[in-house]
Amino acid sequence: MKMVVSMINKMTTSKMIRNQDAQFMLLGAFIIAIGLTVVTIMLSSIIFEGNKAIMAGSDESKTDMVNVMQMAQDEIRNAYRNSTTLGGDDTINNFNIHMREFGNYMSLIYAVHGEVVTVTWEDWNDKEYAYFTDNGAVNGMPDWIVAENTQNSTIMVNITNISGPLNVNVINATKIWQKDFSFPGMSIISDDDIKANINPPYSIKFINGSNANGKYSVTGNTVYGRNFIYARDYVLNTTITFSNSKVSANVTVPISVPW
Amino acid sequence: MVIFKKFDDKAQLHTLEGVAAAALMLTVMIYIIDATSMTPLTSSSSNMHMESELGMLGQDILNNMNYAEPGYDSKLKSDIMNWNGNEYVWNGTNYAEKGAEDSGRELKNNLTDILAKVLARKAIAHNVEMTYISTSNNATYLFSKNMISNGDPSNNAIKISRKIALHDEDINSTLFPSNLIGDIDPSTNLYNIIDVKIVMWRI
Repeated sequence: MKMVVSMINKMTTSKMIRNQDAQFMLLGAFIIAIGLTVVTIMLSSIIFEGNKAIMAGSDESKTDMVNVMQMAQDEIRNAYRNSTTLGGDDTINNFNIHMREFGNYMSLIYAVHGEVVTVTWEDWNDKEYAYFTDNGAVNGMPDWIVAENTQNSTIMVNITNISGPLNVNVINATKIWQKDFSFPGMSIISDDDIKANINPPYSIKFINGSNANGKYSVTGNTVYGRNFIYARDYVLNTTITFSNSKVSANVTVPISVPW
Repeated sequence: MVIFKKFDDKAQLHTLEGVAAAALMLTVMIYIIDATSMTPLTSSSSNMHMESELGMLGQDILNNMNYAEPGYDSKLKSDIMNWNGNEYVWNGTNYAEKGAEDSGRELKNNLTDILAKVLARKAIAHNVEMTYISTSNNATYLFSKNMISNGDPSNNAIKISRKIALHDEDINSTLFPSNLIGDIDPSTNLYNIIDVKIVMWRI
């Protein structure tokens, strides 16, 4: 009898253990599955945030700001060319009216996108002519290339102040022809002058540009048949403010006019 | 010793069963996820990436079109100056005039060349919208008109825009719709400012 009871007890205990094992197995399976799910969701979130960060890097605001800067540059040059070509006593006034209208309409058209844009500028009243450096400032690079791959060209240099020699180099693959300037005044180097000394295609280079200020223009065409014009009278500082819900910026850009 | 051996066998079997149960549950989850419709427009990490790529593509198109050497007009400006003010739609081969698709009248310019190659052939739907300023009775308004229209954009559409200033000397009286886009400031050389917007979306 005792043996039978003992066997029944053993069997019951064995069954109970198996049942508990099954529950633990199921629990283990759940924990593994939930763990894997959590890891997957975390990885997905990391990639999602990474993509958001990449998108922030390619924010449209930056290209909008560059667009405003380019437009302001083009408009200042256009207003300067137009007002100086028309001439008269109101040249600076006409320039300012043009730029004021441009600034007002720019603010209006950007407001549609929820962006605030203002354009402020300076005119050339009481401003001295630009230096013959690469950026027009006295501390700009004094030796720089104005035009490359040139086939035909005419160079006009009008010096206002000069403290040392200013040189214009015309360079081709084998030869350098140099024209020196030491006194104020206007000089024109014609296409015939250049071709009498050097064969195209050539580059035009200003040397010691920080020694003098004044106006210049280089017109002509390239070996590829494209006409070009490079000219500078003044460098006018233009300030652009741009702000939207993400960024706010205030940029001052020196713009050479007329080209 | 015998007891230990029995215990080890049981543990291995339990582990195996646990792994099998986990695999079964994962299979069910994968099936559920696969059964869910994931299209390019479904908001997800990959969709964000696609939107970002589409935005960069649009920026590249407009950067390329808006470049100009000193003394020259950009391709984009040239296209605006020569637009006749009508609306066009992509018909699979070219941009035909909307409402007169059988007339053979089509829009062919620098913009349509690049849009046909880069967007239309990759099944990226797109609209090109022009917003311009209009003044009348001392009031200023903004008007929009589509140059290219291919339907209503989806919620995931990308918009890229560039502003172009037009001047009096830019106006081609034979083609440019001066009755549509007028001179906002006759006292100066500024004619109008156009906001060129490309709207792109996956279909």
